[in-house]
Amino acid sequence: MSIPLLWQVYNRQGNTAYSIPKALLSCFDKWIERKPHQQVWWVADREYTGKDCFRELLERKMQFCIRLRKNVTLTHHNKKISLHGLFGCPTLRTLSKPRKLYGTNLCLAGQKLPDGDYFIVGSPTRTRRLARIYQHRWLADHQLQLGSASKPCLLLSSQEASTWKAAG
Amino acid sequence: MPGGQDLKGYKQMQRFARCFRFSPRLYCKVIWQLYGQGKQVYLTLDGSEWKMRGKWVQVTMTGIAGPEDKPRLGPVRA
Repeated sequence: MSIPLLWQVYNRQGNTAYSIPKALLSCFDKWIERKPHQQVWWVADREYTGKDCFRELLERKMQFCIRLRKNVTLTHHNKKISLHGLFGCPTLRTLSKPRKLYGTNLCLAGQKLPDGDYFIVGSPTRTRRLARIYQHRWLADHQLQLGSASKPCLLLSSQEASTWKAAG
Repeated sequence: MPGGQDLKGYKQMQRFARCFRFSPRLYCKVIWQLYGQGKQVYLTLDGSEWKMRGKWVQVTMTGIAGPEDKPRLGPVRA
C-alpha cells in the first residue's frame, strides 16, 4: 500500500515536466518536519531522472533511489559506453565504485531481464540494498491501477526479474 | 473482477469526500504523523494519465510506501 501524501493534477498529456517533482519536493520540505536521524528515501521511475532532478534532491538532502534508462552514456576506462554495457548478467550486480551520471556520483545496481530489457537503479548513497529499496515503488504503481488487488512479492532472485519488468 | 470490492469501497469514499473541502497541508501533516514516523520512510513518486470526457488528466503523486506498522497517533502541529 502507498498512502498518497502530495499530488499535482494537470489537464495535459505526455512526459512529466521537471517542475512537477520540484514542486512536490518543495511542498514536502515546507510542510514536513523530518526527524534528525530519519532516512527519507525518494523512489522514482525512469521518467524522473535528469541532472536538474538529482541536483534538487541532493540540495534538499534527500536520499534517492531512481531507476535509470539503459541508454545513458558514461565514461568507463576512458571509453564512452551505454549504461546497459555494465549490466549484461542475468543476476543482480551491484558496482563497488560509484559512477558519474547526470553530473552526480551514483552507486549502481542492475541486471539484464529475461526479455532483453534492463533493470538499473542508481543512488548517491552507498548500499547493497538498492534493488530492495526500489521495490517500494511497486506499491504506488499497483495503487494507481485500482482494479489490481495483488501485492507484489519482495523477491530479488533472477527468476523474479520478469515480475520487476511487469511492475515497472 | 479482481479488486472489485476495493473499487466499490473506493468509489463510496470518493462520493463521501466530494462533499467536503480540506486543507492539503493539514492532510499531508496528518498522514506524515500517522505513517511517516519510522526510521526509514520511502516516498514513491509516480504518475498516471487518462482521458476523461475528452480531456486529458495527468496526476503525479508522492506517497508513503508500505507503512506496515499500525499508525501511531500523535499531536499534529498545523
